[in-house]
Amino acid sequence: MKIRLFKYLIPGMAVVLMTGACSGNGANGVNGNAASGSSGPNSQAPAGKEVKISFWHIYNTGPMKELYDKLIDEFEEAHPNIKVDHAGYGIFDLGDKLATALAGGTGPDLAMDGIDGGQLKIKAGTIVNLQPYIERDGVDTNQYFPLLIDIMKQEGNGDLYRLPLETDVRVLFYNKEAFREVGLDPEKPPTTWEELESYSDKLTKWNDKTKLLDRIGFAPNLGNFWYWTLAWTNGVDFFDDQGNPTLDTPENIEAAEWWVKMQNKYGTKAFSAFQSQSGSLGFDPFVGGKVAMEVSTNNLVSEIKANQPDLEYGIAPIPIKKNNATWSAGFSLEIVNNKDQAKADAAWELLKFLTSTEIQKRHHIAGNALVGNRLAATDPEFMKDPDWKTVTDQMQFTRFLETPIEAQGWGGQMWKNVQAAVAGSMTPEQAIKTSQKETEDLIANYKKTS
Amino acid sequence: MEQAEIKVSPAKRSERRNRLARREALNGYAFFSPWLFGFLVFTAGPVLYSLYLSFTSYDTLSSPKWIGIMNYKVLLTQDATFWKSLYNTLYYVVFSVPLGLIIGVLLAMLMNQKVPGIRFFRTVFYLPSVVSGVAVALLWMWLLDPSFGLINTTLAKFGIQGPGWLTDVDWSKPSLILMSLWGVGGSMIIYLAGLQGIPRDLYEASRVDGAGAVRQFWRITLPLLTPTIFYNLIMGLLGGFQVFLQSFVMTNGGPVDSTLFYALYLYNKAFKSSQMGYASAMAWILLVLTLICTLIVLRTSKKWVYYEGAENK
Repeated sequence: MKIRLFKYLIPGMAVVLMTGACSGNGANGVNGNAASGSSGPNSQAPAGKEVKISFWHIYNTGPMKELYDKLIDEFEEAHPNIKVDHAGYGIFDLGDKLATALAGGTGPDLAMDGIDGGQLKIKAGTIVNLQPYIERDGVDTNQYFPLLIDIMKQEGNGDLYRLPLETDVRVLFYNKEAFREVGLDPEKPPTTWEELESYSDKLTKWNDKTKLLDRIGFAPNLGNFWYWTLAWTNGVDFFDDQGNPTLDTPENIEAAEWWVKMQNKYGTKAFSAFQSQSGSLGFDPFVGGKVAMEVSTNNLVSEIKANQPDLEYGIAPIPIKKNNATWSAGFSLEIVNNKDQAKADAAWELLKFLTSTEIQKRHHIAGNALVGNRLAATDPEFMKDPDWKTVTDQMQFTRFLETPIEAQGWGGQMWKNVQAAVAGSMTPEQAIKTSQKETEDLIANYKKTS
Repeated sequence: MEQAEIKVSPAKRSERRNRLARREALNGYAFFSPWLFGFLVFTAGPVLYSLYLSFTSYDTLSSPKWIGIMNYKVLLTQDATFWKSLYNTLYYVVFSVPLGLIIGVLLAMLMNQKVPGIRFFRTVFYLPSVVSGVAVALLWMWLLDPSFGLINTTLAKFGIQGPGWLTDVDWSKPSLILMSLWGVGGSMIIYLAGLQGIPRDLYEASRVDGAGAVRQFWRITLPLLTPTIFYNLIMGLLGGFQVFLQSFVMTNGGPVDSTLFYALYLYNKAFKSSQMGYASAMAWILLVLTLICTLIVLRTSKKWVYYEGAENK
């Protein structure tokens, strides 16, 4: 009996392994370009037979959920043959969920996904080439921010595989009341690193009794200022045109030194006390008036409106050393290649609808978001607000953090090293040199194992 | 009819018994086949598939590409972060496992006293192991807060300036080890069962012979508890090597990679960098390491684990 069982067990195991292997391939069977499973769009918009598609996004609460529920209803009404099964998963869960689903071949038909990492999906044929659709329907790609369109193209041939939904941009927020209090002109925010430092020193308030901080002028580790953003304002390029890392430049070291100097004005003890204290506010320390100047994304405006609507603040470009620069991240929409022409066609209709100027305007109103559609974001109605104008003006300088497939995680490593320099376990120069070495190793190791 | 029954030849009878036995066996297999199916499909299959993946380059979207032992070679010879994460994990195992054993045994002995309200205390000490890991992690983030956490404010009352705990490169690992001891209640319960399995008469007899409490502990309690300690040691090792949740939730590997444990680095490679083949190779290296440690413990166990009733020295 025992022997007989094993007779079955071994082929059984083989079957299991093979199914495993197949499901691995099944999801990705399509190599090469575009919709090879679906051979390009139909010559006209789908009509007649009912198609059911699924759509995953991040909007699972609040006004954005309400808006998306409503938009999907409107879309279904306008397209009676398309039924949309949509679900919001939240900003932190969608990425993991989508990555696993795409690997397993169980992804939705239309997906919202982070702006990074598109090339991998294009190369693997996981997402559908939108170029034929765009050409068929004559979609004007000038209506989107050009920078967003650029990173959504396939490297090499320039076909668009995704369209931008929403993005963000980092700006300097400053507290006008605090400016007046220390005798600074509230209409003249700092524009250079030097000004930022001298303003910050004036605005910082120490408590004589506790030796702790009552207010911080400016601290780079606060808010949403990441090291690379600062480095860019000093003319740093982290990679050359061939994709080789060029981190160890004098400009980058200078930026790291400045970051460490600014951060260490407060000392670890007082700063961590400040952080715990302001952390208990439940919202950003700038909103609570505990920080006078802070680099954050445009989304901080909503937080201010929700928690401290009376806060008197201004918005300015990030102070620079050499050239204007700032950092954006965001989300795009993409059609998952589920090898079903009808579904891909229907998903395109929804994608086109959601990224259209009219809908994107409503998106902006509901979520205060910087939408990917330039015409919507810079609508004259919205541009009446000077702060909003400052925000959208930054889109001409903004950059995306390069994440070459071979060097994924390099930015996190550089951040870690700069923080080690802040903690004093290495010098800023060592931090940058180490980052260069680590990025080189990352690429070398990736190349050897791919 | 009855006669016919009696006249059945011995050969036929044994054949019938065989048939019965076979049927019984078949039933047995039928009953456990759901488990077997689940095991093959959801455990053995993926495990073996990951062995295959460890020899490939696999970005989860394109098909895996065979690259031989390259993943292993790069991991072992060129990846500094790999060694750093291994060091962090070994550090954690070396301190948290023995400390967990010692404190678990001591606590179990305390909880084995016959004092009023002991059931209450047993519940209190066991309670942390019932709480979900993420909740525990969040709770400890509050406790360990450098300025306003309960631990440092208490220390400050005694004039001690507490460290930065999770924010301090030197203290982040000890913080997590300290935190792991809070969950010692799970093993305490097992020790308690072990303690209660020790026959009373051994203590009575030794007392008659003049043994004190200390001697009783070393000569009776500890030897008779060794099978339980052995079990907890193995489980502790397995758990220790896989430590993940604390650093994932509380520190994300920081500050400066000081709590980047092996499993967290593996997770990052698999799900953040989409290097599934590389991560699979890491998983198999971890398996081999854990296997070696467990084998060493198993080998030495003959020398220190005492099974009552077994032929033992």
